[in-house]
Amino acid sequence: MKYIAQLLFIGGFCVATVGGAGFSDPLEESALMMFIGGLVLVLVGGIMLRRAVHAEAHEKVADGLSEEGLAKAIEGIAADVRGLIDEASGLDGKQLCTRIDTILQGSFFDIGSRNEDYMRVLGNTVYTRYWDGFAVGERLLARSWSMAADGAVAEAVAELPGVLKNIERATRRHFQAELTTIR
Amino acid sequence: MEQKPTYRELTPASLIGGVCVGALLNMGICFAGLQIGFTIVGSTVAAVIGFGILRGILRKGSILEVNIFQTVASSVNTVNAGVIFTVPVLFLLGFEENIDYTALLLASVAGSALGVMLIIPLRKQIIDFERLRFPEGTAVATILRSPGAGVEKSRLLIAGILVSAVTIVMVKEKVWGETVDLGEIVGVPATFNLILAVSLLSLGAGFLAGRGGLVVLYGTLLNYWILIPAALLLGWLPDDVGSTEEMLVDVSSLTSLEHGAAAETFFGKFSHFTSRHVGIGMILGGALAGIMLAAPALKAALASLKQGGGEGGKSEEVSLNVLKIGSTFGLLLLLFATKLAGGDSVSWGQAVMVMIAGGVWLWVAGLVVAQTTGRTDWSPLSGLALIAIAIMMGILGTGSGSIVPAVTVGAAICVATSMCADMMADLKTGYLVGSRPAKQQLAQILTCWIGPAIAVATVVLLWKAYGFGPDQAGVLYERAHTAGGATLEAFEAAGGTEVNLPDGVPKLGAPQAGALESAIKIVQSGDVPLGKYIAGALIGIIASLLISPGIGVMVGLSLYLPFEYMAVFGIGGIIALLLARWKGPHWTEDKGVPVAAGLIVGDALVNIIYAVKDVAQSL
Repeated sequence: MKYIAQLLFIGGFCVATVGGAGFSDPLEESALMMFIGGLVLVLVGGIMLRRAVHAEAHEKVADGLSEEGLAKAIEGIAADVRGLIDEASGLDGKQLCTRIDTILQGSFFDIGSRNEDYMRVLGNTVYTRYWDGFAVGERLLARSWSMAADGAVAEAVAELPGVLKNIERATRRHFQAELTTIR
Repeated sequence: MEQKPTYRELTPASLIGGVCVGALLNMGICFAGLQIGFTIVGSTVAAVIGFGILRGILRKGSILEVNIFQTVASSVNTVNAGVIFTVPVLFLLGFEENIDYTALLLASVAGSALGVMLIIPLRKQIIDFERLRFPEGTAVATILRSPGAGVEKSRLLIAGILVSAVTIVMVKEKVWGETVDLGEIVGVPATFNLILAVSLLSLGAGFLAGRGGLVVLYGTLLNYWILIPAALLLGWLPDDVGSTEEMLVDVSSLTSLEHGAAAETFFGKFSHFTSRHVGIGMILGGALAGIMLAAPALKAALASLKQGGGEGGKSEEVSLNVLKIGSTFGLLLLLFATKLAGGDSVSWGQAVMVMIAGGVWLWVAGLVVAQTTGRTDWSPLSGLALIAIAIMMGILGTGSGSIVPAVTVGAAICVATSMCADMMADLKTGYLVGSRPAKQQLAQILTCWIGPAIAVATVVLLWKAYGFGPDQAGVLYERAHTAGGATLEAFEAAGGTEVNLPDGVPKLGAPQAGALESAIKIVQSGDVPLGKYIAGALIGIIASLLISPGIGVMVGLSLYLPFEYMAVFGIGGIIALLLARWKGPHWTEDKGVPVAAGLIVGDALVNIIYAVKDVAQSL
C-alpha cells in the first residue's frame, strides 16, 4: 500500500511538474492535461501516503515514538542534568565540558535527531508543547559548555538550573495531565 | 549580593571588530560578486578572523563573544548580495542620471532593518522546532567550538579545510576544470546531464543536510533527466533555446545532443526558461504550506516574544515592542524612499501600496530564503528579486518612469531577504554554541544599517571607476569619447576599444544584473510566465501539505539551481545517510560534521583570498 502510494505520488509529481513547465501563452492543451492529471495523482498518492504514515505511527509507539515515549525520554535528560548539577561544583572546566558533551551528544542528540519523526507522529500542537522546553534546555546546556570550554566554570555551573527548569517545563504538562487522569 | 556576570558575550570589541571586518569583506565580495555573479556569505571567514583578533591579539575573547563578532561581520557583509543583484541594473538600463542616491540608500537600509525585524519571530519555528541544519551556520559553530572540542575534532576540521582549499585553488588556477562530465566518462548519452561541479563546499553542505540531500537529488534528477527530455520530446521549446546557431543543438532528436560546452550551455538555458519558474513557484508554495502547518509553533514563538522569557526571567528574544517600532520605522523609510525615487511619477497612494505589497512580499521572501538556506545553504535570491520588481512594476506601471522606483524597492526587498537568511544562519550558530538570541538580535539590529551603505557606495564607486555589465568596454569607450582629448588618448594607449577593456581595468560582467535587465524587459513586454509560477505553487502547496513542508522547498530549489552543484549536494547527503547506517548516527555526527564543516570553510577562505587579491590588483 505504502509503495503504491509512493509510486503514485512521485509519478504524479513528475507528470505535474513536466506539465507545469509546458505552460505558455497560448496554453498548450497537452501541458494542461499533464498538469491536471499529475496533480490528481499527487493528491491521491499523498492522501494514501498520509494514511499509511498514520497507520505506521501506531506501530512506532513501541519504538518510543509516542507522546509517552517522548515525555519519558525527556525526563531521562532531566535526571541526567540533575546528576550533573549535583557533581558540577567539583569539576574543572575540561571535566565539565566532557560531562556536558556526554549529555548533548547522547540523550539530546538521540531525541533531537528524530524531531521530524516526532513531529509527524505527534502532530504540531503536541510536538511544540514538548519541544519548546527541550530546545531552550539544549541551547542553555550548549551555553554552559561554551562557558566551561572558556574556563568560566562558575558561570557554566550557574546556567545549569536554567537547563533543568526548561527540560522540566517540557514534560510538566504531560505528567500533570497524567496525574489528572489517574485522579 | 548578586555577582555581576563577567563572561564576555556582547561587547564593544565584538561590535566594533565585527563592523570593521564586515565592511572589508563587504567591499571585497561586492567586487567579486560583480565579476563572478554570486556572493559569499563570509560568516566562516569572519569567525576565523574573530578568533584571531579577540582571542589571539586581544587575548580575552570567549566563544560567545566571537559568535557576536561573526554575527555582526556577516550582517554588515551579507547585504551586498541584495545590492549587487539589483542596483547595477539601473546603470545598465541607462538610468544613471535618474537615480536618487538618498532614496537608494534609505530603501536599502529600510530593507536591511525590515529583514531583521520580520524574521526574528520565526526563529523559534525554524531553529528550535524544525531544527533546520543551516550548513554554514553549523560550520561556523564547529569553528567556534573547536578549542574545547578536543584535538581529534580540530584535526578533522583542519583536514577538511586543507582538502577543500587545495581543491578550490586547483580549480581557480585552472589546473583542474570547474566541472567533470561524468556522463561522458561512463558513456551516458548527453541528453541525461551528468556534469558535476568540483565543489567540496556543495559536498560538505549536502553532508550536513543529510536526508534533505536525497530530496534535492530527486528534484535535480526530475528536472534534468525527466522534465527536460520530456519537454524536448513534446516540443515545448522556448524561442531562445534550440533555435540559435551557437547552441549547436539539433533539438529534433534527443540523441543528437553531444557532450561538452554546448550541452552545458543548452541545459542551463533550457532550465532557465522552463523549470526555473516552476521551481520558484514550488518554493513559494512549499514555504506558504509550511506557514499553514506551523501555526501552533508560530503561536508559541509569538507568545515567547510577548513574554520575553523562557529562561527564568532573562529575555530570550528582543521584545515585541522593539520589533513593532523597528518594523514601522522600516516601512515608513520604504514609503519615503519610494516617493523620493519616483518623484512626480509616483503618487503617495502608489507609494503606500508599494509599502504594503513590499512589506508582505518581503516577509514571504524572507521566510522562503530562511527555509532554503536552512535546508541547503542556497537561496533563490535573484528569482525572488525578479518577482519583487515585477510586483512593484505591476503597481507603479511598466513605463520607463517606474523602473527606478521599482528597482529601488526591489533592492530593499533583496537586501531584506539576504538579511533574513544571514540572521537565521547566525541564530543557528548561536543555538549550537548557546548564545542568547536576544543578544545576537540586538547586535544585528544595531549594525544592520551599515552594510547597505557600504555596498551601495561600493557599487557606485566601481561604476564610476570601471563601469560594469556585459558591455563594460563599450561603456568605457563611450565615456572616453565624450571626454575626448587626453582621456581618449590614454584610453586608446592602454589598448581600450569598443570591445576591449584597457589594460589595468578589471572585467566586471555583473552577470546577475544582466539577467535582471533581461527580466525587466520581459516584464515590460508583458511576457511574465505567470502560469508556470502558479503551476509550481500549486504542486508545492499540495505536496507540502500532504507530506512535508520541506518537499516543496527542496524540490523547487533543485529545479531552480544548476545540476552540477545540486547533484554534488545530493551525493553529500547520500554519503551522510550511508555513513549513518554503516557507522551509526553518533559516529557520523562526531567525525563527519567537522570534516564537512572544514570543506565549507576551506572553500569560503580561498574565495575570500582570491576576492581580496582581485581587489588589490585592480587598485
